[in-house]
Amino acid sequence: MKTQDAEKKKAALTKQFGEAVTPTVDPDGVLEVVVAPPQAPEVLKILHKEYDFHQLHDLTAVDYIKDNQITVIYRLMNIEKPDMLVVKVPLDRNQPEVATATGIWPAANWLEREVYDYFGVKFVGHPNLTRIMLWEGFEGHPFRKDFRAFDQEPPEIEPHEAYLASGFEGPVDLRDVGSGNGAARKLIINFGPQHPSMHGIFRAAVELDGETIVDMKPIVGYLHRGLEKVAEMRTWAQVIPYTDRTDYLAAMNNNHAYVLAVEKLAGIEVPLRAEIIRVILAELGRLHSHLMAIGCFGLDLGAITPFLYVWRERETIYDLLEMVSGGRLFPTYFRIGGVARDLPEEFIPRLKKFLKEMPGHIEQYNNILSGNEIFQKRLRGVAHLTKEMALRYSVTGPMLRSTGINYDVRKADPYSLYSRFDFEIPLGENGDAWDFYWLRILEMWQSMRIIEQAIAYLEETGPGPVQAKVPKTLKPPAGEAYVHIESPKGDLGCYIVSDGGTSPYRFRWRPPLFINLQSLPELVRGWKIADFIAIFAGYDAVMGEVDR
Amino acid sequence: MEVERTVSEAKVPEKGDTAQMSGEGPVFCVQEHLQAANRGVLQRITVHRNALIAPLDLVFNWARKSSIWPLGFGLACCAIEMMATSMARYDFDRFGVFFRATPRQADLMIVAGTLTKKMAPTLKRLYEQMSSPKYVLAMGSCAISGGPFRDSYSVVLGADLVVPVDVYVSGCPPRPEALIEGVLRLREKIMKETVVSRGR
Repeated sequence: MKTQDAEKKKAALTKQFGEAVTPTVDPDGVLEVVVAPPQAPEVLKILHKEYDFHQLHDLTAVDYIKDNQITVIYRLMNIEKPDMLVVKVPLDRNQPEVATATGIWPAANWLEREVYDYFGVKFVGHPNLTRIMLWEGFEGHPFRKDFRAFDQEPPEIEPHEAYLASGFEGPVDLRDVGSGNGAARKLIINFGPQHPSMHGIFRAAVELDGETIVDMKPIVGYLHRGLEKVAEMRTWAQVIPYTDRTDYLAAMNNNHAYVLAVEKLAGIEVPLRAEIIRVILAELGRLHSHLMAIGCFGLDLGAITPFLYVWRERETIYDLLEMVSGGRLFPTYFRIGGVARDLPEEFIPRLKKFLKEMPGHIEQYNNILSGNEIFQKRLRGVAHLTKEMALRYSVTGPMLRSTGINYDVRKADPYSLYSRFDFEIPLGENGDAWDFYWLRILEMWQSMRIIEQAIAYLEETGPGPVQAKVPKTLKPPAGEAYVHIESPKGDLGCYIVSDGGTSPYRFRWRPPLFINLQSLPELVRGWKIADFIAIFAGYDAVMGEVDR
Repeated sequence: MEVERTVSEAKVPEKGDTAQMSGEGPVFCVQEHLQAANRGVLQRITVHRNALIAPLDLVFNWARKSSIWPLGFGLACCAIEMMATSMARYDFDRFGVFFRATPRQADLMIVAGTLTKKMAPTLKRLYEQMSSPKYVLAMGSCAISGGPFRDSYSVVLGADLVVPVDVYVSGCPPRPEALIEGVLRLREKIMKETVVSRGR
């Protein structure tokens, strides 16, 4: 069905554009279109308008140094069907230039800046094509294969001092801040990078008129560790611990995305038992990530007690993780082709006990936090994320579902064993901060349902192998694979390119939070500064994933 | 009674230490080189703890070690374990460790996570905003040496290239027990100080 649909589109595209496009359909039924750079903007526009790809899912690039090409990859999505389409634009490596897609999808803004930062691809017509992760003054583009300048010195002064000195004419986004009216009463407040409510090292420059936010600019990149580049220097198996360290609140989900992608590329069959164990752990990961999210909601709004309570449950989950792997925060338990070892005997009884206690605990959170009148007043009706805006900025995860759009990768594009479990996708109505919060509580119930079913399934199937036969030096065939999963933060994608070697040729992480965060300025505009904290808490931002 | 001891046991940065990151850069500023030089001089002088200073030392050090207030400042993954340490199970508060939101009220900076080059000037400024006596604890392999991201183009190879570090806690991330042990070691270190050196 999917393949037929793709074939139909393929025929239509060939008819429309002739030789400018070369469409192919891959085994999963995903249409891939290679477009010559001059025709790229036109093709993208038509794909958006006539083919209903109203969401830019991902935008990245790969440096094929042997062919002297940098290929920019657009991954388009129609989340209602759902349908995916890949557009590849090969550019000349010496002078890579392509027209910007920001006019079609505003979400392309940061993604194009990222590609510019990493590869030096110039997006003609981009409103603010500056470095996003690295600082101005950084030499070279690190993701080019011939990049050698690893030992560069840190910037001499704090980047924001440079902006202040230049009267906000600085190199990064801040120059746009002073564009509103009533300049005399304007006050620019800088949050972060070190601020207790900024969930790590995120920086926000907020322009205020009294207490009302006129405009704000998020600034990221303070935790940019070059994770994707480092992964290119590791073997396929060695990359797993690095995926842990992206979204460090849900390490298992990250592992899951990566191992699924490698297994898809190398064609490895995973034993059933291993896959069930993975689902259990991934849902535990979702539970403890959401626990942190709701705890932080309270903490950011001044309620410290709930945070202590959520940590009680998090510690229990840490105990469970410690049982299976010895690690607390980063179990690194998943392996390519299975899991590291079978579950210990005491794991399932302990997990069952936890599941029995958990409803009471959630009840407790509702008593001390959700039912609190002040808390509700701080959240209800604050911010208004519309469906249209969510699509425009490619927002995914609980924030997208808070607008009422039913998109969860576990249902929409089922991976692993999710199609055989019975669970619901909680949806919001208003797209306000309360929905961001409340959906996470509801999702915890669904996660527990999935874990319960998975335990029953595990007991039904009985003991068995947990690791497929994988060669010690894994060399997946040359090619590429893309897998996306539903992480607690949103639609997490893992794109890997292999050249047949022992390590990834390109490792790309589609970070849901990085893409979600672009909608922050529009969401907070017009609200009070205290609401900004409440809205930002709704993103459940983890800078490890935003900056990688 | 006279006790002979050296003033500071902190590692004095050698000239070669910062060579990798080029010690001349303004980030590793002149002040630090001066401090290092001072410490070198002080080390050569043997302080005589006499009857006058010893009780003072005891009182000051006891007060300092009993209420180490760290800066609530998380860089990366280690910050989550740092939070875990201050929560109910590990209960950091019983050591008098209580997180502060501003560097002006903090005695200890826990560098919890990867220090990137973009963040380095900010970290240095935060350190300079803290009032003396102040201490730095490098938590996790990234803060010690760059850890798993040592090969990266944007990671500082150890927080000690930017701020002077007193205690190193290894792990990726260190368990809360390890962080507690680190703070206990810091307490030991504080008890060895004398008012003559005025901390740091």
